[in-house]
Amino acid sequence: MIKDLEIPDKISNIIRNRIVLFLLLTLILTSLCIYYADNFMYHQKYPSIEIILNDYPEGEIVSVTGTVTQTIPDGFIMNTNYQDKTITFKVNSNETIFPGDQASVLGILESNYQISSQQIIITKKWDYINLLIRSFLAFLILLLFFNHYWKFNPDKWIFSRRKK
Amino acid sequence: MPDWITHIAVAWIIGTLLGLRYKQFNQSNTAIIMVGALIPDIIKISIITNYLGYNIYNYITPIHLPIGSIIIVGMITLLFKEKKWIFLFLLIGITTHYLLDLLLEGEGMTLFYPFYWGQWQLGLTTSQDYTSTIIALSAVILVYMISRYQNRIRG
Repeated sequence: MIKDLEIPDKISNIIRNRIVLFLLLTLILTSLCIYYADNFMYHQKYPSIEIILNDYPEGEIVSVTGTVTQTIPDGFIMNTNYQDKTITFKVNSNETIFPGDQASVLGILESNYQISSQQIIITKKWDYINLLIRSFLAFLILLLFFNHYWKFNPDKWIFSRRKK
Repeated sequence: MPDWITHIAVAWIIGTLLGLRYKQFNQSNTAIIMVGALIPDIIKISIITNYLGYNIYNYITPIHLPIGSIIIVGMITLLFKEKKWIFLFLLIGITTHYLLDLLLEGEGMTLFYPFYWGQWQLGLTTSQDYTSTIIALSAVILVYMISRYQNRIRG
């Protein structure tokens, strides 16, 4: 019974090496992710939400992305999330925009979380949903295409070519 | 990002065109290039976590930067026997991804992270623009016809 569970040395070495390599790469990637999350806000062209919350750079150009919740006569109200907090901005703009749309706003930060927009990139809600649906279809096509040429061997944890 | 149809279509076109000249670029390896073309968008997992109430985008952004994508390529390569070739094909795939993403509007991509934080993007199109998808799909049809014609000539 015990003998059945033993893995031959050669395979064992391969598995061990692959696991070590995988763990090493995971460690490097995790370090890069942590370093990025800790530092990206200091390297952005314009202050982002974290700096707005901490320092409130009134009068400076800021860049904020969020979801439009309401339109008002001279602009719109936009919510953005940061670390489980929801921050509401009032954006002065002439753009045609609707609740549910995503907006990336570049503009001057005024008092009370108000932004005078200089440039806005709008992602319409249905365009975004359409993009996701198209991408999901593409993913299914890729799965079928890949599965046509490759098969997974769960015993060896390796992909091999299908014989044609 | 352009939609995934554009990403995998461009990857297929490049794999198939190179296949006309080099035998290594057969359809099974083109499938690997197509997988590579979607690797940077593993970051889209943050859409699901967002719905669950966890905003992890800023933590996993390096996946959508060349250094992170190359590390993921290394991890995926461990699942194949012909590691050097698979690494190369996946690398071609992620290169097509970044070339397409460079065309988009946005704040820019930190392509040389962690060595340099400069951001670039050309701002020629938006991710919702169908034009790039239509051009890519038209090119797929054209390349498919060319490859069929070539295969017929070769017998």
